[in-house]
Amino acid sequence: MKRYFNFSEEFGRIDETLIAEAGKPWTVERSNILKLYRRKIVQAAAIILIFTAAAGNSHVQAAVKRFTTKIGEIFGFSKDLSDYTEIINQTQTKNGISLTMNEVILDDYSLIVSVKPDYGDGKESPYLWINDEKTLINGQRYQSISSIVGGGMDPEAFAGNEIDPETVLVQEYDDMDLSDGEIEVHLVLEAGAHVPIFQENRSERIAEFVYDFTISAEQLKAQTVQKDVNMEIPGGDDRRLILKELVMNDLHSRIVASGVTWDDRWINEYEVKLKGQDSFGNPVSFLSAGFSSENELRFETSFFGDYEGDAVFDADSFQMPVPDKNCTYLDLQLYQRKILPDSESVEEVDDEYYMEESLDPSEMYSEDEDYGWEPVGDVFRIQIKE
Amino acid sequence: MEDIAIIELFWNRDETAIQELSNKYSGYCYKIAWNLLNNHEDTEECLNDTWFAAWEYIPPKRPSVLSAFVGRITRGLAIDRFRKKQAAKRMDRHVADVCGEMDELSFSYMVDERMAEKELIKTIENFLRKLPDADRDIFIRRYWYLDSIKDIAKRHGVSQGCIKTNLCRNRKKLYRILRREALV
Repeated sequence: MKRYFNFSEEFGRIDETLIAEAGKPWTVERSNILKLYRRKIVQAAAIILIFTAAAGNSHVQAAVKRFTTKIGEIFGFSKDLSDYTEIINQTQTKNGISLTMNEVILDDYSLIVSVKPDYGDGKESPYLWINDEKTLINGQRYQSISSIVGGGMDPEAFAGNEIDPETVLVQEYDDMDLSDGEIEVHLVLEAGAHVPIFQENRSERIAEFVYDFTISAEQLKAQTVQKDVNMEIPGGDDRRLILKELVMNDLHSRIVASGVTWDDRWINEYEVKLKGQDSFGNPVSFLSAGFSSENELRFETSFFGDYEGDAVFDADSFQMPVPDKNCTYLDLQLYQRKILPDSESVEEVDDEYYMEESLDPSEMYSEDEDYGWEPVGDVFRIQIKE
Repeated sequence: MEDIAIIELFWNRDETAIQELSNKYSGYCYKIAWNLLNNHEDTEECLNDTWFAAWEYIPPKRPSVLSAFVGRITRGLAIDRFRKKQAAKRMDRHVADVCGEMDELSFSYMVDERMAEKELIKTIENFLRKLPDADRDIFIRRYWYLDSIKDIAKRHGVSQGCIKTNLCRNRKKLYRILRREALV
């Protein structure tokens, strides 16, 4: 008997676990956290190592004392975050892993938690991540746009060092627009070895930790500055960028711009950032962080500063690139850097398609040439207050 | 509301089940239907059909993964709706592309047992499970969720060319495996 294999119909019947897995946001934790974020994690780790080693030094000691929260300490925030931080201090133990969730900060743009894991006698440090699919904020699931890990996660960076394993997990969101008052958080953390999805006992090897608590985002929201900018600046390749909105608080800051779309040639060939200083003279840097929608380009400050891979810095010189929220203006300039394809990775598949990966810019450009960054247009001012 | 609680509402024939299901999964299902239908009205109707189909199916079914269960209903309904409208309407470029790619993987073969048909779905699942995580995600996003190349590139933070290459390579790989299995 002749049969017709209709792929679109058959594919609709694939196993539900495969569908559910691909229905989750694509986060590095679920694939290989260390591979993609190694550089950033090592940077964060370096800060902690330096603080630890220099604890006897009175000058640095004073600096360390400024950190009243673990989240602030691990990421090196210059502002005291204690007013925004909820202390949870709940410990749960599963599969021989003990997790103590200590601090939480929540606002419209991020959920930040500090967790102290105890992996027992296991030789291999398991991975730890927030399950985006199961985590609910006021009963609603929000899709995060990125995940960041700081602190004691990288086994290589911490090998041989007796170091605080406290880990900070960050989920960044587009804009949750949270309500005022107490917010119910149903936080689901997972810890375990990286187990491929096709292994039958996968779920048994991943421990799930559920924390239910309430937190208010009001104070942080109240101190978040939102400013309509509506300023046009020149972009590369004769493009015009329209800076639409600026949002800033003690944790992070972002600028939303229009004028280019996701498939724009310039934005696909160049990395871009906005760099300068606030009215107090604090260095600020907004790195291009992708598109919120087809034509809304996000520039964001980074939890890891604006440092290149081989830049050397210590705790004293490390600078969060976040502007002071009380500043009256920002002086910024647009910079671009050509993305260089790795010619060795180009692979002919057929006449139409080819594969290319980009090279690590820090390996291609030197510090002398500002790691390949070149200014576009002139310095411009965003006036925040008169 | 937790999935398990929503399923309990269905089993108790509590009509708020539909509202709770819609509250939780309308965004998820809307994206699946929209990817194919590209029309708000059609997508909304498809979603309404999804909630009522779920009402019909649960009970007796008790889905283990509710998102996949309702997503599968939406996908099937969207494909049906799309096919009905296809003849009368010029296809959107994205839809034409994704349908063309899926057609590349369709073929006729000789079989004398229903069993053989069942084996092919297992072959697809085995193929998917053996793919690297990123490749599997890309393949399922494209052919189950019917995402555009642009959306998948954005999701993985790579160029569209890289996604096309990845899909092309894995389509060819799967086609060879399926043909071989069908002939055996």
